[in-house]
Amino acid sequence: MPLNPVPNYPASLDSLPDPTSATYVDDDGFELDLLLSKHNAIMEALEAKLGTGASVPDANEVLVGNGAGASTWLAGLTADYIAANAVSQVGSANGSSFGPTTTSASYVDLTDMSVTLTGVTVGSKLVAIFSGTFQHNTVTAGVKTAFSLDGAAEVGGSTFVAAATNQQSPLVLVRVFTATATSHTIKTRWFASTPTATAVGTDRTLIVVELKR
Amino acid sequence: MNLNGKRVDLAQLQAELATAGITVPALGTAGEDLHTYDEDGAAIDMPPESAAVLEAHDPAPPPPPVTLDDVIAAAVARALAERGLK
Repeated sequence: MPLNPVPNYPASLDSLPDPTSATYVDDDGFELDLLLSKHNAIMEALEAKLGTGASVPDANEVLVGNGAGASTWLAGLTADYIAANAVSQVGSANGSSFGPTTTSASYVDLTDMSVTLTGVTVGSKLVAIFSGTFQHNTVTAGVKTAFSLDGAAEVGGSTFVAAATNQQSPLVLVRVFTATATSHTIKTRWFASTPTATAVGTDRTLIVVELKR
Repeated sequence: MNLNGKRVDLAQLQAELATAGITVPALGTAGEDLHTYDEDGAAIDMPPESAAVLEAHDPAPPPPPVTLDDVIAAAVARALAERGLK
């Protein structure tokens, strides 16, 4: 059977016949013109795959495309070559409503403090950070804050107890969650041991950073 | 429900609502918004019938503002008390 001069590559790999010292250039399956034609087609496909641009690789370099049909060896991948949110992403919420208050003795949403990340990689880490300033109008009464992931029970709580009427105090929360879905909502929630707690001014921020694996 | 600049004492208002037969789990404010909470703790609108109670609400005077000296004095007093000192 004559050699098929059309290569499989780039759709799939080829298996080329190896001639021996006893093989003639017109032997069936080894026809030199057909073999050269096949080699040429494969080399042209490899050129297209690698792209244009003269460069020689060095240690720890990677080959990257740097234009349509062009490539180069790069000593260090820069952010230009990494898609947005491919390695990490950040969501944040800042206090905008001034001085929200609550009388709730069980956890309720703290105004403005909700962050939803989409396009999350399952298994990645979500680092949640919250800071805010709180006030209670009753001596020995407390304000407690905590995170809630997708409506689950609150975790990572932090409390302040007023030593004087209307004492103010900062509260900081830090927690690492493991992503189990492609979208997650993290909220800061709060309650007052007795009425009434206040989140002072707009001094509150919730930041969620996803660190992908 | 918009407060329209009205000052409220939330604990007092919640008691007044209860007296009027309006039961809410808790009250909260965010800016000029007065709200209560659903079973998940999300802020929801006040029941419409609470408007009259809010209108009649006459809040107790606010406590005097606290100073840093007050906080320090209270902390010192508590520390001394814990050690049985005066």
